[in-house]
Amino acid sequence: MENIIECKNLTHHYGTKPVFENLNFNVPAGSILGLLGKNGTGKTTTINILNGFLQPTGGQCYVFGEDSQHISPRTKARIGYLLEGHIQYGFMTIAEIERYYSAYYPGWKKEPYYELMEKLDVAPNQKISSMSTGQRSQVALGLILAQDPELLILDDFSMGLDPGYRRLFIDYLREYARAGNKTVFTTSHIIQDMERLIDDVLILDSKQVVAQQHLNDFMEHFRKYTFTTDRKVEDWSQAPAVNVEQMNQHVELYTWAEEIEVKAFLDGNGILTENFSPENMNLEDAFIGLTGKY
Amino acid sequence: MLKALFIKEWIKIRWILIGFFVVSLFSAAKLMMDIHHQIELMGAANLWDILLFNNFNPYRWMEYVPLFTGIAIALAQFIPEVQQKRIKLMFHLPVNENRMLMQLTLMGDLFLFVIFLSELLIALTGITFVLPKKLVTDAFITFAPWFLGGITAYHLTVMVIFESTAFRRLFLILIASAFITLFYQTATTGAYRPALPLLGILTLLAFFTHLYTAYRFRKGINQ
Repeated sequence: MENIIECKNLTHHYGTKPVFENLNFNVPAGSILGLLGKNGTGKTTTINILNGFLQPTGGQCYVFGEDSQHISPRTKARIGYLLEGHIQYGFMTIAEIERYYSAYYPGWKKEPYYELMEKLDVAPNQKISSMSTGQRSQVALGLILAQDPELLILDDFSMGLDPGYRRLFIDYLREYARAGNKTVFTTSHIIQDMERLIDDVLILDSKQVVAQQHLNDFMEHFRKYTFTTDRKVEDWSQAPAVNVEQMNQHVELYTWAEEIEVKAFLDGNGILTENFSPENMNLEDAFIGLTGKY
Repeated sequence: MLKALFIKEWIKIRWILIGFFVVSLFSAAKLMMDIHHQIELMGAANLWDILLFNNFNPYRWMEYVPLFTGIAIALAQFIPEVQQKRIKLMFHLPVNENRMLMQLTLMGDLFLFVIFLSELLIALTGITFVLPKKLVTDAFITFAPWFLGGITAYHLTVMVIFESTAFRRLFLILIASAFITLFYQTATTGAYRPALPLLGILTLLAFFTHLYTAYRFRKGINQ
């Protein structure tokens, strides 16, 4: 399958502080990929590099085969971009901003924009700056839908939205992306939202990619086991696990390993357990399990 | 596209533009009234005499009006763009980024041109009725560096707004201030006559000064 985005050995430092090093990832055509990571792992940095708004310290990203630092106007027309916070021109009304953007895109389709605007309780001459954050998010989304890009890059689309608007945003976006076979690269700090939207997950932690796969595969192969033990284990580093959290007798073990492998380790190290059981996780549990709480 | 950009810029700063347009009209009206008042007080012959031989400059109070107009319009036009890095929206449009930046500042130049031209036309037309052609020409030559200074100040202010580090911004403010003083060395009537072509070239050079700081802003370079 053709890759719409390809990043190779991507490295970025702010001053001497590394944000990430040697990231390699691809975004295939038609996929909805969610970039997850804790604060400061470089989600917005990655999006800025993809849009040519930041020169990486090392490595390159290619978007539609073009170096992201030199994207041609023709290729930019194929990319829809949502800024963090749903930033738009607050001094314009919904009609003015639609007319403004339509001049730049020959394939502009205003119908989906106005269809979305009809759902909002706003006057036609109301300025965007006087709208709620939720309403502004719909304006920003509607403008992207009208642009009808092949690739959508969304920077933290959940920011500032209440649950209703988040759901509206996700439902509209998912339906639009599925129907048009669009490629979506998105971040959000609300992982439940990502779970409703994405097909593929890319997780950043400790300055590198710690997982990139189909969401279903990730949820199937990344596991959580819980058990109790009387033994206080000081060092779990030899365990077949990416993260182990022990609070008194209760242990939560997150791993890519099969149950049999984990049990073999526990038995082999004389760690007697009770109530050993696999636990179901949602994406947020799995994300925290993989990256830790701190 | 240019029409769309013009409308967007007009919507953004129309009240500031209208405000400065009104100020410019008042300035032109005041200048005319001052000259007419002087003629009432001392007679046309005496006024012509001191204008020609005593280096009397009745327009001096107008000196910095174009400068403040240029700075204010740059602030009104570009502060909303750099707040929350909103200008990324513009850089994402399917147009070459430098071309877009030049178009944006040319819109500002167009607004300034309309304001300054109206002011000049009204002021010069008003004094044409009471002063000879030579004195009207002298008045124009006296005004010219101030208006060129206003346009230059507009571009240099845009250059400073795009700079994202405090130290560099301070440095650029100092450089810009020194540059601008070239346009305000003297208010003596007609003193800038030989230097006007050079000031015109300097003004044209200023048209490009924001491209470097805007590039740094666009690429997130903050060192």
